[in-house]
Amino acid sequence: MSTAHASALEAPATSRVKGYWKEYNSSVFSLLVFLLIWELVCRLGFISRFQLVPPSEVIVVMIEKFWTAPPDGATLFTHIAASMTLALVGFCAAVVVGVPLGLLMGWYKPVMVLVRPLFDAVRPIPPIAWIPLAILWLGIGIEAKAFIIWLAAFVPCVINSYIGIKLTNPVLIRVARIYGASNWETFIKIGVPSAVPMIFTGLKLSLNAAWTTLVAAELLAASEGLGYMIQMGRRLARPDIIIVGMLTIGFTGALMSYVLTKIESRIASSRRL
Amino acid sequence: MHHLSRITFIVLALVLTMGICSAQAKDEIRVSGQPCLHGLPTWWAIEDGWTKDKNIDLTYTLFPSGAPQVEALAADQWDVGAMGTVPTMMAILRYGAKLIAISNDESETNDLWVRPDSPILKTKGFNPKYPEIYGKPEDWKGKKILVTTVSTVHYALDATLKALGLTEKDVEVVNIEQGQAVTAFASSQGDVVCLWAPFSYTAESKGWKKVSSGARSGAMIPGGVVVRKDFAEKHPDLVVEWLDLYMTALDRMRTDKAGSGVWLNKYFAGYCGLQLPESAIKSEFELRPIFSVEQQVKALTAPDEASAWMKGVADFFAGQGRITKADMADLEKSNFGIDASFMKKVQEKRAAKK
Amino acid sequence: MANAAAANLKEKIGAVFSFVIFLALWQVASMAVGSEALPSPADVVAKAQEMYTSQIGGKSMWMHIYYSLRRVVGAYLLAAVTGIPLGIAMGWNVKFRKIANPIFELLRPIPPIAWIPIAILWLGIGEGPKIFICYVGAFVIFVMNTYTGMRYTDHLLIDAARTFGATRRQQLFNVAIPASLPSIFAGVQNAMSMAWMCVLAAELVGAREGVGFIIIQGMDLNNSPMIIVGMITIGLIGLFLAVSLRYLEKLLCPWRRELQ
Repeated sequence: MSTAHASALEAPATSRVKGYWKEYNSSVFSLLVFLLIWELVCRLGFISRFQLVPPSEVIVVMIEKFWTAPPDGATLFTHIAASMTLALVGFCAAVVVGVPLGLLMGWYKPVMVLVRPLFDAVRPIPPIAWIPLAILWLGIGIEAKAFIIWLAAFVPCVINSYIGIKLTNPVLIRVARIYGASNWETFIKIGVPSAVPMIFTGLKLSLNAAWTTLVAAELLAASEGLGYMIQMGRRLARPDIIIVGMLTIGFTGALMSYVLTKIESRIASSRRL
Repeated sequence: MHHLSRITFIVLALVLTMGICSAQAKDEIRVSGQPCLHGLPTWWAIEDGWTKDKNIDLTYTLFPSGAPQVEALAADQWDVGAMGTVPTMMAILRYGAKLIAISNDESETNDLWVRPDSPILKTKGFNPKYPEIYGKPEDWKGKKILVTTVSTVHYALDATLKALGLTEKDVEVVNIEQGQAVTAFASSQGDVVCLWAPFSYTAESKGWKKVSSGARSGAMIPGGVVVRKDFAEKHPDLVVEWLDLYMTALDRMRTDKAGSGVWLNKYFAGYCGLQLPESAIKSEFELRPIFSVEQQVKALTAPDEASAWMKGVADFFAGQGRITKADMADLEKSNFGIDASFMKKVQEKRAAKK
Repeated sequence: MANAAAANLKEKIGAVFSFVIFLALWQVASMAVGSEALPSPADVVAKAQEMYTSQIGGKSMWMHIYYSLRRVVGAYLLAAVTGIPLGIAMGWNVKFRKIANPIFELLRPIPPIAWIPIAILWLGIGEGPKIFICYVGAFVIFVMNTYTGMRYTDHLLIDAARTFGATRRQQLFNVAIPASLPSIFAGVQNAMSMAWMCVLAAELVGAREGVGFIIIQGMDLNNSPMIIVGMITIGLIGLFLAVSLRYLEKLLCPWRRELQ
């Protein structure tokens, strides 16, 4: 797969398109079949019109939503941009706090002993449950919403950084010690770099978590965003708007995972060189 | 093989017993409601055994709010139910439901609150047509208002702003759910908060002041009692039978407030898990006018009542771009789904009894 | 041995110490901002005592916990039964993967809570939609972990099996699936915590019982101690589920002890 991809990059544009087509034709095909079955299920009356909107109508509404604001008050792009901003703010905050915390937990035993029980106790609490406290502490602006996302995105950052640094090759650590490196130096120069691949996986999981917590976060005083769009769709009894919101979350989320995977493999291959 | 035949036998037996059971059973009416005054009647009828000598069997499903209730209507999960004006309108518009009664007048329980130190409280009756609304337009301008958008209280807010000669552009509207709005306002977010009962009772207990409401700003907000389209067509007699029970409960609420209060408290605390202070239970009956059968028939038939009230709400939604012109035309064509025939039959039935 | 016991004791003391610090900070914070904004630990304990000894919505706290657990366990088992085979099929059969993966990737980022309207439209308002919401959460984890485990099975193992004349079936059941067990087991644990975390979203559908219902009621009544008691209850049960699952795993699969 990777060699085919590499050659596609060097080839002229037309065959590059062909290469992409070869890689993705089955995906396109499978999505088309999925849509077709969905359409048929609706058209042939297996499920009532009220219970599932056929994809043909969903697509029409989706295209309309690109430039029309009603009935939910903003265009699809505005919603996507608002949600992206929110998810990224929460995600970045989670990385800034979670990665160092995980690394320190893995390296310094006292940090681990003190933090781990609290971390384990807070983890199972669903983000939505924090909404009232978030309002009390942070108000109803982006901070409170980002906090809800932060709670979810924070967990994989900590866990993966922790595991990553725990897996540092002890031989390397001993070598560093022998050459007189202090514990801090060893941590920065040996521990952290060797944890990078695991951290990256953690970031991916964390971004996923951030994106999937979006709808919960936008239950809190939002006036735009994809979660808000679904909420409005419910209030106005518009299943088509709800499904457009869901599918947009799906598409955007899948796209983000895809981009991150590509970046990850780029970094991995450059590291190998 | 032996195994298989046994399974077939069991399945057959099950199907048969189910068939017999359903043949013997009374006619089932599936009722939906909310943790609200207008949800009480059916629960009351079931708990107090009003249907014992009748040939109907009521099942009651509680919904936390209008949106899931309308979704369940689309999924054919209930036959009759009571809900707020907005879900009522959506049920009529999207799923052809019929509006067969007004559960209560909710105009006074959709209200706007400020903290006691708000400058809005300094003046009252700026527009003599609306003597009960507080504040001058300058006081309201630029205020941050917490409101659940696309709701009846949003309608009340809009009417209030209009009464002061303002529009939504003059203030900052923040969309927020009811429970969260109380929490946020309590932690000094926003300048005005728009609530409905029972959330407004929390506001009252916190010492916030009511500055306007639907009633004070001329926005009539009727609670809807609706019936699913199919059910209305196939079982009109059952609808009448249930509506009779519903009206019996409403009559009791009108005439015996103390006795009904006991039941309302049982319903809220014991069934819905909503612990409200006694004063709130009392306010429920004081602030929500309830109509008798005669008043209902008049309201549902007179052009300046139910249809005008619904049109007011629909116009507001159309103005906000929440429903389209085509939706509006649909609503007007069906006269907002209003169907007085069931209430009239209840009236005839009662007259015949006398 | 004695060393290990000492380390264990140290860890326990550390845990207690950390909770004490946490409680002290909480107390100080609540005194600083007022019990309106943040109820103190004492308030919460008092509320918990009240809640666990009286009834809420006609049911005791234990009944609420029972209802939530029933939903979660039902959803979890359903997700295991459907998710693991799907993950295995996606990992094993290239054609199937190509068909199923894009759809899975598209639906995966849609959070359980976004499925609420669809769940009501399809399954009504009873237990169905609540179980469905938890199911969505757990199902994704089961599929992901099984699929990842299958995909990262060492090809050498399968090639070796083939060389020894194993049929395709044997390669799958005797080599690939056992090789991906560690990943599947991780999924077994994560899916449980996910299913449990979804219980609040599930009970947003409209419930009159359950731990999520308690929190939702606390939100509606603007009662922060009640919310916090609900959160702690959810946290403790989540912890309990994770620990008991780990124990169960050790009991059922003794060979895992050596792997750890």
